[in-house]
Amino acid sequence: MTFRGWLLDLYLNQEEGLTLWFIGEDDRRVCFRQAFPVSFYAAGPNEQLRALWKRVAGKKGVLGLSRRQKQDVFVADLVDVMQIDMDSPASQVSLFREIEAEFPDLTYYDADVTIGTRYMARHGVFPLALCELEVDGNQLIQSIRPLNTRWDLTPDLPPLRIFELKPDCDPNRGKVRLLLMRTDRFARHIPLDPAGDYLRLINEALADYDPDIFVTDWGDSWLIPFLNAQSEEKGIPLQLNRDATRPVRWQKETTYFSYGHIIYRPEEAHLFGRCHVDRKSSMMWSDYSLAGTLEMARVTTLPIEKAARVSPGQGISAMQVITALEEDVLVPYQKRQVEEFKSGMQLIQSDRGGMIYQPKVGLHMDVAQVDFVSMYPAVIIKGNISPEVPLPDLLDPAREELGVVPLTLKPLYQKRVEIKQKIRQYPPDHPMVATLKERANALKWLLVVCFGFLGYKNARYGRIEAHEAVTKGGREVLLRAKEVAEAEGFEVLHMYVDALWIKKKGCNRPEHFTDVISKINLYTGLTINLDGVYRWVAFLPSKTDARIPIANRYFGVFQSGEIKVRGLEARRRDTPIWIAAVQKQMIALLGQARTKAELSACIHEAFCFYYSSLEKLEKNLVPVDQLVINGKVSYALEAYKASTASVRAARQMEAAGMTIKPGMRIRFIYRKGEPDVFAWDLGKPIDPLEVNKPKYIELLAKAGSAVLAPFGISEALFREWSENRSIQMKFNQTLFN
Amino acid sequence: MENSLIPFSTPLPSRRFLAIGAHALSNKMLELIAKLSLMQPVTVLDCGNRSNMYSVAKMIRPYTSDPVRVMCNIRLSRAFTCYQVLAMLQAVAANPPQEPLVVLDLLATFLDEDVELKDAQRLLDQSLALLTQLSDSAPVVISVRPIPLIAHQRAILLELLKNNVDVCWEEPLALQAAQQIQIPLFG
Repeated sequence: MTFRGWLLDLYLNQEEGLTLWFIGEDDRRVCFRQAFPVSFYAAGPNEQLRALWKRVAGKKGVLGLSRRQKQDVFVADLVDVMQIDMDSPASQVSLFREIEAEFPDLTYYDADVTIGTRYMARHGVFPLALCELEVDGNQLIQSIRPLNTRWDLTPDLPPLRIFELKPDCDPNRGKVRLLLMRTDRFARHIPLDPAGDYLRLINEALADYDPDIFVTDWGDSWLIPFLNAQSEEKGIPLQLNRDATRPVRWQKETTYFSYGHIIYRPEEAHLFGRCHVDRKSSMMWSDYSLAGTLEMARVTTLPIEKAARVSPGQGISAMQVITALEEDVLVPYQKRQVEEFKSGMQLIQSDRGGMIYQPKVGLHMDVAQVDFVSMYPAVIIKGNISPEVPLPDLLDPAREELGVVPLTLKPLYQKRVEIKQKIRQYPPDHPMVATLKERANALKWLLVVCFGFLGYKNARYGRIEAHEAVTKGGREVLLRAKEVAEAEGFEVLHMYVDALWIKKKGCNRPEHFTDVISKINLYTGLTINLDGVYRWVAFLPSKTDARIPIANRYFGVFQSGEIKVRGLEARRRDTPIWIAAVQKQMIALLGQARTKAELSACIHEAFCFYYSSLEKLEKNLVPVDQLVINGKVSYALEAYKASTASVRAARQMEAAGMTIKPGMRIRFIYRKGEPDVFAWDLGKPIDPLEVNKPKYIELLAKAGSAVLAPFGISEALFREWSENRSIQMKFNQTLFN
Repeated sequence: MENSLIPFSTPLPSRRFLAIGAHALSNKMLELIAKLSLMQPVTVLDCGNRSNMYSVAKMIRPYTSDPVRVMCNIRLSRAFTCYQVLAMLQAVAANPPQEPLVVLDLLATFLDEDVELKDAQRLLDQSLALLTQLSDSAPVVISVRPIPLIAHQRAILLELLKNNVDVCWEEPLALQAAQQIQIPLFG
């Protein structure tokens, strides 16, 4: 039988190898199985390989053993390896565990490649790929071929059935009374009645609607554990999986270090035959939502449930592994390649980051911001920077044939550029624009992390020298751009890694910058775009010394009226919502000014708004939940010697019996007296009169003064006024002596 | 630089020295590297991202008119996982240097909880065997930091290391505390 449909889910089974769920073109949801033999490799001294051969020959699941010569990217010549062919991925996993413990000194390849990645590399099939299958009478897939690719700009996508279920409030803060259930066919509020009728209702709705994507809020941390426990306690069955033979699969909680932050990921609930996406556990949901998640799953081949939750780094890693498998390059299990020896001088010269040219502090009118499009990925592709390729001479590649890393990035980079071009073809309010933007954002994050991943210790295709070559290329590009801009008579006000802020008398329209942009494109070989022309932009100084400029700390208003803010309190995750909102509104009021002359009236308006906000705070008119500070603990609590506000709040939660893990977000409010913080997630109410108002005035004054500093109002003066509503004039005593 | 708190006098004899202290005694080890590099080539294996060559350059500047030449006396490589530490030592042992070998923050990557303790122990055993071999031809100076509370299950690794060196020096607690106290502005 021939079947056409979209791949939704794929997982291991102990019998045939794989279980695959499809959404048919006829809207049926169909499950097939498929045999999937896999191979992995071992390399090392001959005597150890002989011992391994003897150990595994004839073992259950082993289909064959042979000697091969294969390419390890970190070794110039082909390496001799022993190939172990297994009948299924499940038996490969269990045999590898055994032999790794017994032969730890051997080098292993292709030993821990995920099943989705292997499947993609062999059949070219990925999540939501439209496929054509030949299936036998036992529902076993005999052959499969994709009818579209990961790089299609407007892929043919299935009509997904999406089922949303969420509690009526944050379960960490209050008592949940209702569950809100919504699909494209119905929406219901279900009370949590003691008899458990809600379980029957959910079960019936799931059976009737048969969703593909089960979207929840707090599904991993609260909703699914709660529903499962209630189902067991009340003896009312609840079938969350489409595959009725399986229970929910729980993935352990974890804490990890990523881009300078300790991140905590709670336990995850994974379903079989459909996908569970918990919006509260999906780290990038606010950036790219469901459309971006599906795009991420398609291009990376990660399962949809995983693509929603993991960092983009895992996506890039999976893509590099696919490239390696497609190119018949070995996938190392443990990277052992080390940095080449350098002299102390060479380390100083090479171990540098992006180029920064400190801004000219103050207010500037008619400034253009020009950005290189995905600069580091572009440098990687242009310079062919990959661990196995000799390093480029600045931007000129050492060889033409692309290495694993640029080969992986090139289609991704091109797809993002094409999606962005497509966005420009629609009017801004067109319904396609939001979806395309979410997809472009998902691709952006993959491109953003690919550079860091080259230097990441556990990256299979990482190499520190390649990482350094990228920043070196980036610095060269920016310097060339600066030379071009200055030669064209522009003043360069600021440069930050991949962006320049330039101005020239008489240039205040986008078309005035077209020529310089074309010349930069030509001279660097990379694409640079006009981000916009600012009516005005203010570069801020250091908080501790007004004479010192700070890179990437600015705010400004584009000619379109759009406001751009970087490095201010409004951009920080830990800033209370209300303080961020006041700061943004002050900037918005300043943003009404079209000329320098109009600014003074706007400054007055911004200050009045600040004053009214201050009064609201003093009169207890600010809702307490908008004063919550979103802190974090990066270590286990016992490791802290000094006690920060977040740690003090976390200790309150621990004392209340809650488990605190490194990387967890800790929400708290500053309160009067002792204890001086109130842990928000204890779930108790706080009397607004207990709020430590002087502390919030201090925070508000900091945020407000950052906005007014470019207009000559110092932070100290602003704080003094905020605290006392007057300013004490301080005279220099010597004047009177 | 002359008043180093670490009781190593140069030239170093061919032995294995271990220094234990907060931050793997980074500043003191960089002083040692600077001091050695003024006189002779030195090989540095950085296992904890501690090789701040800007500091070394500043330290040597008052003692030489040719800082670039002195900085070129330093030959270094960095490892970011314990698998890489072993691979780096294997690479060095294949062509053992005759000049002093300084290993910075040796245990840092062995405390990584992604690596099982038994694997970390096996890799450290092999690394220590190579360090012993290397100390036959040149002095080996190793620095580590005390095992943090959060990784107390891995304290055995430090014991293993202590048992495999000739001289072990631990930064006295008083010195550690003194470094944390701000010197009073007025006498």
